[in-house]
Amino acid sequence: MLYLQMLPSPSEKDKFEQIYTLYRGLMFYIARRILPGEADAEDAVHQAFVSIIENLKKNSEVRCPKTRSYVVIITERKAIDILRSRSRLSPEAFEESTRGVELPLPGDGGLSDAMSRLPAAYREVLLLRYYHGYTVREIAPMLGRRPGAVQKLLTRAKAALRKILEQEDEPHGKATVF
Amino acid sequence: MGKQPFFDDAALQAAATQTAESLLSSLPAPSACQHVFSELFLKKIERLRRRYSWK
Repeated sequence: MLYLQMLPSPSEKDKFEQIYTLYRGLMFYIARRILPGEADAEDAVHQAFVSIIENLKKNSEVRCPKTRSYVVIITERKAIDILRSRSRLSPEAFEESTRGVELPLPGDGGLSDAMSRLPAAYREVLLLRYYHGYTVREIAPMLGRRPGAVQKLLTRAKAALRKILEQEDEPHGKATVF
Repeated sequence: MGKQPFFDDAALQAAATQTAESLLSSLPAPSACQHVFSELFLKKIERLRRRYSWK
């Protein structure tokens, strides 16, 4: 495991400790919704903290929806990565068949609902890019991927969004739930 | 061939905000999620802190 070489500032240390104290229980809750075993769920939470500590500078205030959302996304990703490591599916097939945390539809009957229906990998990258405002280069280490792979993931996520919206536009069509 | 749905960055930002709000609203408050972590987990977190020279 490669850890960041730079020493964090005292404020980053405080931020990490606050995130750890406030969110570790929620992170375990998220991981357990994806992974059946407690040990695996704790492993996912640990992996999420490794990612969080490496990207502390990119986070907002600890007690804000964006940080909470970030923590949830990263934990979901690490839990799904554990599942993926044991799957026989190709990485792409696995991505397209894994829902992650179930969330209610926002109810706009359009783009937001379509985004909520996406497989977890697509929803996560769209949220990191368009809700959190991170660049592809910033997202890459968060997800443990190369920037080129993140760009491809974004392209596939948008194509999947279009597909859902097209199906909704069909006269008797119904959106595919991945 | 039907018209392809179009969405720009502004539409994606608005949709992502709604999706994130929906995601967060479906989860319990952090204070409501209690779990006693294993000794192994606590050791790994301690090791992570040490890697950053916080100790």
